[in-house]
Amino acid sequence: MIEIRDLRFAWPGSPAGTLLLDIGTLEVAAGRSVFLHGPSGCGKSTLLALLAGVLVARPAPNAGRVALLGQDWAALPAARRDARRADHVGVIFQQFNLLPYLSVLGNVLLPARFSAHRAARCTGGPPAAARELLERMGLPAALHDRRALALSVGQQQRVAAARALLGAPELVIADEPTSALDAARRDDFMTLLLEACAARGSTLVFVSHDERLAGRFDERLSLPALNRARADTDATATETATAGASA
Amino acid sequence: MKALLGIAAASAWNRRGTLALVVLSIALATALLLALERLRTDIRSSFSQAVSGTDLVIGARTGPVQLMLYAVFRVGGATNQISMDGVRAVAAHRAVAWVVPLALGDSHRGFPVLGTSTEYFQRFLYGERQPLVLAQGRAFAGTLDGLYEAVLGAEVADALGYGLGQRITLTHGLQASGLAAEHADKPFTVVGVLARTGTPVDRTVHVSLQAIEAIHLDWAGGAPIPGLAIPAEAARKFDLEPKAVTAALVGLKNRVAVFNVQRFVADYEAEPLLAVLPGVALDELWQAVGLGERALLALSGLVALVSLAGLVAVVLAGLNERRRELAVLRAVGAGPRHVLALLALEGALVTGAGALLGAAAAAAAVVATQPWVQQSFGITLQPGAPTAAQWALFGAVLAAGMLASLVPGWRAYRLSLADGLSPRL
Repeated sequence: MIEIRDLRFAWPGSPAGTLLLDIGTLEVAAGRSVFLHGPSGCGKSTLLALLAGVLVARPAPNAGRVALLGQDWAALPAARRDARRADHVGVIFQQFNLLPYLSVLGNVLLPARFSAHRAARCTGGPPAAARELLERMGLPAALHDRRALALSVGQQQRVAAARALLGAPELVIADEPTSALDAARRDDFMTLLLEACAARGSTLVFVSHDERLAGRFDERLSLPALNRARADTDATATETATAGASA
Repeated sequence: MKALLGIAAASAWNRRGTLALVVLSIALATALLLALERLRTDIRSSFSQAVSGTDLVIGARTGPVQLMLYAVFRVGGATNQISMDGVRAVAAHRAVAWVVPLALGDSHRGFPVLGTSTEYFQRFLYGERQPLVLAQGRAFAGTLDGLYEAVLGAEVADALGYGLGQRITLTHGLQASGLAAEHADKPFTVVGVLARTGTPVDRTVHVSLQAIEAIHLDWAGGAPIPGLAIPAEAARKFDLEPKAVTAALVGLKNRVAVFNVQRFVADYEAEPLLAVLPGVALDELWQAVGLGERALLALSGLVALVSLAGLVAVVLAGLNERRRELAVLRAVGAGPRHVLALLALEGALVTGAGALLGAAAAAAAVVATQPWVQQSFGITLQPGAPTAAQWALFGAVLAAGMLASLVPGWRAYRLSLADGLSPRL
């Protein structure tokens, strides 16, 4: 499902020889839910961008293989990567997930606009599938045609989850989606997200620095432990990590 | 692309407050360009429609353009008159079929008065060689009994609400102000109203040459002679054959002779005369006016550019706040090229809305000012379908707007490439 081999990545303009990510091997099997944790600035968001094919580990000194469903992102031209991401990946951000000028339903339907593949996988057509997902996320029909920003932050995150799950993409990436939520809402959100991913067989890669959530996942990965580039700076994180975990 | 259009429209609508101002400024610029072009085209067509079937216009020696302006378009005044002897000499030329003398200089409530012969109503043609048609009544008789008869152009009758039998007095000179002296002692009766022509004829009061003589019998140097007053009836006993007129229209038996006759007029020894071909004089006029027209058009073009610069500035300024929005779009599968297209589409939508609004405003302005322009300047504005040049200007505004929209589009493209999924704000 996800396969990383000998990934080396540095942002352009960073001093020569300093890498942000240096990961030997990482594999995640289909349908698994993975909790990826690490402190701020350790490269979690960059790793997610690489997994989603928004970034590629090219050109040199960046190198290595980051593959989704057996296809290395770096081997595809930019336009193909965008199309492939639309087809196979759903993304949930920390906050500000929604386009303020679209309705709740319009936001959830965005992936179907950019991907015929995702639209085709919606049973009963994208609008029906979107409404069903929203209901499942605890958002009643009365809210579906509201403006996205009229909803509370917790509701907005659930809309984002519904969007990421529309058309059952193989991979759902969540970048600290609960950090803006209070404890009660966070637990509700986690339950809904994990159930929905499991129901659709989507692999979930969930990034957070909040390790209290880790127990609900199939696997738990520590980025500082995986990442040889930063291993020296994050000794404490290494201790708690399940080192070199893979499926 | 269809997916993007809906998003672009929704995004633009979301910021409609700011963008409405941009739309307005583009609309004003477009309206200015289109209205100017309409005016330019219609002034030209009004002028070129004003006279046809006349081979030469003769008058005192002056510039050809000036002669055309005062003799045909009733703009400005004559510097000098020509004697009837000279007119008769031209009429006697073997190539000349007809001569219609024109005597100008008086007015009625701001509308010019033309003294002419009855032949005018048969010989004068306008547009595509169309003759004058009387909508009501008849032409003035041209006899002593019908000395004080007048025929009105359509605009004069409409604007002043005159009908047949209306009594009018003429004013000496062309000013409509109270300062000009009235020929109040010799009132005229309206006997005919001409059908509308869309030419200066509509704004003209037509009387006979003899009538012009009669009302000036007791005048000298532009004022009544003190102590001399000749009543209207008594005037009929005087010799009313005119000694001099302002200009004359000449028709030839065969157009081939036009340069012969022109030379004959120029070489006439008894007085300095000028004969011009109406078409040639008009070309000269357009050459003179062309520079000003181009300057005006260039200025309106600049106004359009300024408004498009405003569009670019507004969209660029809003871009930083929209970096999250771009990241969301990237996450759901939009590529940087989609982001570029989105911003370009948004600009195109704003430009399109502005240009359409401007075209509507220009059309409305033409319709609204048409009666006033017709009455004041004798120029018929055509509120109909856009001209080719108007389409070209409209297209140019749209194209320039789309081109300008590529600037924020390109900036967004760069941003979304650099930001990936997480804008570094």
